[in-house]
Amino acid sequence: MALVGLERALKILSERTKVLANNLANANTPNYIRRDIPFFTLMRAMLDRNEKPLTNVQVDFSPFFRTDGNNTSPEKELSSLTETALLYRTVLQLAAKEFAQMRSAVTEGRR
Amino acid sequence: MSVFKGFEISASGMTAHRIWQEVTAINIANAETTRTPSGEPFRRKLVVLMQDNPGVRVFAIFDDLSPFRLVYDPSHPDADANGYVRMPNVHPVLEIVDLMTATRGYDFNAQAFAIQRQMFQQTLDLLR
Repeated sequence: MALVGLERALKILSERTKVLANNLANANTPNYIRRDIPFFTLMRAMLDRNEKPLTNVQVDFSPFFRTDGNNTSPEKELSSLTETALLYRTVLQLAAKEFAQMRSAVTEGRR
Repeated sequence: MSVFKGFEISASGMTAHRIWQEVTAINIANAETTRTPSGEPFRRKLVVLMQDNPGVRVFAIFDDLSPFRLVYDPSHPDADANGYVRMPNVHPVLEIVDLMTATRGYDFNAQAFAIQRQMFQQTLDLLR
């Protein structure tokens, strides 16, 4: 179970990276509406209600304060991207630990 | 979506912003150009960015159709009968602002690229 959960977390996080990179690529595209994947909401749905998280991309209609109708904010995208990268790394480390444990179980604790 | 899709997206953002930078450079370089093949002064070039799937791309580069600047300079070879010269509709200050915006956009995409590269590297490290 744990590995499946970690795998899904990694999947959502890597998809989110692409969505955020897309927001940054369109930082100066007129009338572009930013998109995001709510990682924590999806993980909670999976852990609490055992729902299979879909990596559904949500359109974020937060207001824009620019004249070109674009509601991305590079700072926000970059901080979300950094956050996603750090979470990704954390989950990767957890997966590595999981594998190490399995190896230990397979070798009956001997190295 | 493939693993490298994110790289492609960031690369498309870098390309689009680099083209925008180049166009501002063209505008600044031609800020005083009174002769072009079409016979009229240089017209400011405008970059139109368009959302692509995935990423972004330059939709087209248009001519800015706003009126030319009229400068009184009777000694200029291109002056009309009243001594006015039609100068390009380029405003260097606007170009510098565009150049800064484009450069910032490029930097943000480059950073996004670096972050993704790092993530991929960490995934690879798991295999060691």
